[in-house]
Amino acid sequence: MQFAVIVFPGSNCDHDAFYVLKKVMGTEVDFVWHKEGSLVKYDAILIPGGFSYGDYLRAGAIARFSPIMKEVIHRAKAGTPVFGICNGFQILIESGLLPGALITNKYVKFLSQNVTLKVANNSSIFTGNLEIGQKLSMPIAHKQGNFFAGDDLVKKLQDNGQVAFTYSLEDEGNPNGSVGDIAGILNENKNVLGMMPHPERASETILDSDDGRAIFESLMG
Amino acid sequence: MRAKIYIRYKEGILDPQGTTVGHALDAMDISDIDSVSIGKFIEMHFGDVSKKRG
Repeated sequence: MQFAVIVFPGSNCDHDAFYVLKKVMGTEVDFVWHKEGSLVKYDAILIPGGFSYGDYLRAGAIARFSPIMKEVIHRAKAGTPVFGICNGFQILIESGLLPGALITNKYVKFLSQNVTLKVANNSSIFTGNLEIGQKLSMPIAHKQGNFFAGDDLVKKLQDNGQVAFTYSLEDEGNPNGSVGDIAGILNENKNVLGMMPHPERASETILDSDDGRAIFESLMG
Repeated sequence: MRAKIYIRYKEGILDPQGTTVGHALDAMDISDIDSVSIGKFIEMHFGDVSKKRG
């Protein structure tokens, strides 16, 4: 499986994602600069975390218009798996590939800490190996990670199985005020996943948790 | 009494956020824009005070 890790000016989690895919999962992966126009040779696309364009104007607002995004949107609509982590999730929302909004954390602080997620969907390519209710421990590092959607949209996401992960209330709890304790969502077609926590920082036991690896394992079938 | 406060960089100070937004607009083929700068807009409402006091 050939992966593309998109790199924008300001992306800083691209190397962690590349490392997990290449060294931990043993798959083919390339960095793809945001000005490239083609993703033809790739089977899956990962949009990493960081501060693309310095989060200027709004996190992900400018990256959304980078040349590569036309191709990312085209491939996402054609069913290619697209995985957005943290700033990647923000970019997917800005580009309309995922619904809702990501606003400033409820207590207006940058949060750098561990969270426990609960799997809410196990019928997507990203979560097929997981059990509903399974707990995954991994770090978050964000200030705009508060997922917001109106009541109707939240209900729709929950009813459609589009909520991928929630923050576990019986563990560290919901750190940022996200509605419905939502930590990650899927599009209607279940081929696009956006999540705020960092599974690529929890894919080896030496980093305290390798729970994140299960998502990459699912994705690679 | 309402005060509208615009906060922006002084003339001659580089605004990296504005410059970056300007470049992004250019990349979106919106090219007749000479410069962009981004500031803050604050609006305050306060009771019946004289304009001087406000």
